[in-house]
Amino acid sequence: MTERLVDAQPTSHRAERGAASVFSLRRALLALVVVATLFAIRVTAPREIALTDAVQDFITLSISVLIESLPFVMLGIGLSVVVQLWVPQWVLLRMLPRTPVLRRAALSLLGVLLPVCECGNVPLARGLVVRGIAVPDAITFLLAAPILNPITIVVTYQAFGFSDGILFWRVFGGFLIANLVGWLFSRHGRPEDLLTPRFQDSCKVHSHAHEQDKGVQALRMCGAEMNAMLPALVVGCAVAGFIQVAVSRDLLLTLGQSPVWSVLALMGLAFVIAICSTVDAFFVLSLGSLFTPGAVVAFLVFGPMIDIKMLALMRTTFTASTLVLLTAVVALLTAVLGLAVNLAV
Amino acid sequence: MRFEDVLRNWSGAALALLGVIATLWLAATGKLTLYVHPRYTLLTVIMAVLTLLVLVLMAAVGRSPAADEGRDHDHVTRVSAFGRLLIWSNGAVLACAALALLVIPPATLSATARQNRELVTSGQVLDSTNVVDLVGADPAAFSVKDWAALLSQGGPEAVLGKQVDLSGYVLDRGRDDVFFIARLAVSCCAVDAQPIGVPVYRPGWRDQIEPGAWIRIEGAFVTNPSRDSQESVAIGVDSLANIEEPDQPYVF
Repeated sequence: MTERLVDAQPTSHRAERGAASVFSLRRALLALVVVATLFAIRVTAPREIALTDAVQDFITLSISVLIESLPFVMLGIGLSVVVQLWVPQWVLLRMLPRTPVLRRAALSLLGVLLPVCECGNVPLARGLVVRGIAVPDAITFLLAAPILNPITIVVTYQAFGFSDGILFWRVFGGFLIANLVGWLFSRHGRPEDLLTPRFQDSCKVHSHAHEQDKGVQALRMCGAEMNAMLPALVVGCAVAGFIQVAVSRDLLLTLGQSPVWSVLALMGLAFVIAICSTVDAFFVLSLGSLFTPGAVVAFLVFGPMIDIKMLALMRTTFTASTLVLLTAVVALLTAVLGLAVNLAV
Repeated sequence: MRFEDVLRNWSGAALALLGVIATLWLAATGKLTLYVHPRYTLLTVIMAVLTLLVLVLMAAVGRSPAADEGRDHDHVTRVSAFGRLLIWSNGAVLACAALALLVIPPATLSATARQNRELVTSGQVLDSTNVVDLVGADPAAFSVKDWAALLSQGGPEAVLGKQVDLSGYVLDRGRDDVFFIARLAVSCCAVDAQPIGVPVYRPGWRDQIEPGAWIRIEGAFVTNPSRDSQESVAIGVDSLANIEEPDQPYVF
């Protein structure tokens, strides 16, 4: 167990005091040399490399998802570190209602204050758990925040206006599902078992981290978060790119007319396409009026909560069985929501 | 310091650095928009610069001494086989990312991808284009997207008789006398690119041009003479030439 503690530990009891003694100009210069070398490699790389269409498209699509989501992940890591270091624990715990149901409802509205889309929310949710937020509450936050988010709501409004209740059901339905799932996981006897052992350990370490220069601590925490998040993000992007090339999108689109199949088809599309919650409304609208309103709602609710890239990111924090359960429950509830909207409209 | 330790401690930072360098280089060469919508350029570049700053500071501060001590003593022997596998798989991810982000030249979506996607015929991409701005403007400067928007919002009357001068790629919709001149429209990143196009009437076009090829067309909108085509208007071609793929093949 101890080697894991050491592994995930960004700070130390015996750490040097203050930034001055830790900061090394030599290492900074070394880093700049590495940066310059990598730039030089990029600039001098061959102008053309002949690849087959499928391989080239796989690379182009994966890089496009990566470059799109990287700024948001970095923003999320930054916010997570700020929450862990500069927001005192009592502020978080006192400001939130004591009743679990109300607490989760309040947490799901946190996205209004922290407009980061879903990939940035994973590091942030980790930060909240480290800071003492219960695991089911963090799950509620993770599911709700990308939907109950000012940018997402404005963009969805721009795309759909109030037609067919799509905006309402996205926001309200998303809120409902996130809280229902949080409640369900709060029934779990030992919620901490939902977390990977590795992340559990890093929580324990953080909870008795010592006083030290906060700037240094923040930088080391950024490093630890990057180690956890970025390999997962890169793998998630590669899988998303691969599926784009391997699975025919037309197959999903031809299912679009039926009230039942269209819901499932667009949920499948949301799962494989893995685009940001802040722009998915534009995307689904550009598919045209091919789809039923319920299917669009299902796309807009399911996509921000669960997709390939998100599963890869969440796997850094939750056990595989938790994610299977989470995916199944969210999929089921979203399908019900989509079908209900189709029946009502 | 052993290679394995460097890998374990710095793989996240290294991946971030690769992403940052690729992003900044793409932005500097004007190719960032081959991957993401222009509205993200500013945010992406600002975050890349900030990340670079944080990474250099992270390097200057180094790892915590405790991690170093753990490594010096009995730590190495206690890393489980699974843990080592994880470290090396991170190394593999890092190597692939370096290859894709630093070595492979930037590319646009291939002709295969351009053909495989469903043509956009309605919806926000077309509706959001402000047609009022188009009326009275110089039609010679119109893009494929402008014409498609005008056609979708104003109907055939809005375009009939208008002169066009367009570049785009040949989108084969399975008919022998009509094809579409199209461009991929990106609403977020290249993953969601979808073709937008207008029909072109050209019997026997398959003998002259390949599906997926980049072309320039001059002509005018006419009532579509084709009998097996649903489109009521199409471009009647005056001149048609193969061209190189444009530097910016997408429309936004």
